[in-house]
Amino acid sequence: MHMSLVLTNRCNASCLHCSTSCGPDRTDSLTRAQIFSAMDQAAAIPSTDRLAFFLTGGELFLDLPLLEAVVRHGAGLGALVTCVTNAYWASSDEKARAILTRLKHAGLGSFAVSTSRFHQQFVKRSRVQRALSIGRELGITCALKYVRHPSDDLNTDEIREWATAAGATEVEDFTLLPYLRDGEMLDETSYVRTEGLPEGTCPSQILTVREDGNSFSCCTPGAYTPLLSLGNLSTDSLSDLRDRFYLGEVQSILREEGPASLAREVIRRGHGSRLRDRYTNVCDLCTHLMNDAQCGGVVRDIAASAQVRKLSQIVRSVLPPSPPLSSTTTLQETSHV
Amino acid sequence: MSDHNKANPSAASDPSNAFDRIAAGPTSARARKLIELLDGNVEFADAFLKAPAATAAKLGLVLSDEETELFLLEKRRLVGEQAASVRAASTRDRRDAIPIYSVLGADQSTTETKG
Repeated sequence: MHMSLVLTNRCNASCLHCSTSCGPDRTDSLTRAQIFSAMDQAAAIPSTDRLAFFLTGGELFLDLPLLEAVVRHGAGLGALVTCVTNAYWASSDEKARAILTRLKHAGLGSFAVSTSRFHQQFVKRSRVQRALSIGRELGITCALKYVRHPSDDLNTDEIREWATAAGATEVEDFTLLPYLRDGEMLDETSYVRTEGLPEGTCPSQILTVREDGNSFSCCTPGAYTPLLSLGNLSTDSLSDLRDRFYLGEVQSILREEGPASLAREVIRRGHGSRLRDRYTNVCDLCTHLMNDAQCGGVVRDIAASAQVRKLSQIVRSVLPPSPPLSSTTTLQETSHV
Repeated sequence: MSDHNKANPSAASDPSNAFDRIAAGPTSARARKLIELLDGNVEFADAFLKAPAATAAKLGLVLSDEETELFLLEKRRLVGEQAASVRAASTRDRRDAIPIYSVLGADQSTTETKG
């Protein structure tokens, strides 16, 4: 089982493009007990997948003792543990080495550094470079997450070349999606979009538990919406959240058909004017559908219908045509709950 | 303004109704009743998936232990099927992937690269 844990929304930076508005004044965090409990529950669920925890925030390195403890706990469960940081802490080689050594000894398998023109207003690129370099020196797999703005100085190849030279084993270059810090806006030229509905299935579903316990099937900017909600860890077991992650119809449709199939149904039902002419990628289309009231209504309707179809098949397979399996079974007149 | 509506501006809402199709087949009275209860009732469907026997019992529909176990087995089978679907999606097209997951790619011994 793979799970993403958003440990906190506290961050030393207040990036304009941060869809969850993390910052120094934010204080929501999962408690240590909640984190360990979620990890323990995940480890207890039988799965053919390797257990893996993806730790994110906020900036996790602001509470290094907690991060270290969480990494150690996850590694102790046999999980692969990775985390994301903006690398603010890499102010010198010595400091970066000391911090990453602690985390490596705790069991950190890999980490990713996020940067962009927005991050770099708070954290210099030299620190990102240092974190990647020390990571490589210590034998920790590290990746670069780069959020691209169309007017950035370096193109995709140049960023890849720079990051790889610094020590990244992988570079992920993302275009900006239109879910920004509360109250912030960017003009349309900030988004790279192409005409038409982007085809393809959902590439990035993961069971995500946020800092307030709310759980979603994706952590892409704009994905924290009711249609992708799985419940809350304070009221639902992780097993229940896992079942909704795998058996939820919206999630299944996105996995098997992709958001374009939902968009086509939106058009078929006469709500095509709610769609844009241009999208960045399938995630852009998906989050647009999930955040628009009318499109969301269509998605909800389609999902409910599909759920009945799936459950009907299960019921039919288990409860065969009469006579009933057991003489003790009874059927009474009932009403909908 | 989008051009999307031009594709089929007069299309009517017509979601498929599984219940109609199921009810037309050789289905037991209990199955028909259960499907009817599930139809459009998301809360009930969620509760039923979680605890089929207890949820059905609250509505006066008794499931035997054998049937309950079959429901749970089928649920586990579907979960496994969907887990495989997630793995397939994760390796199909990584261009849109969230990078935190792809960090796994370099040291994962199995084929999956993210959740």
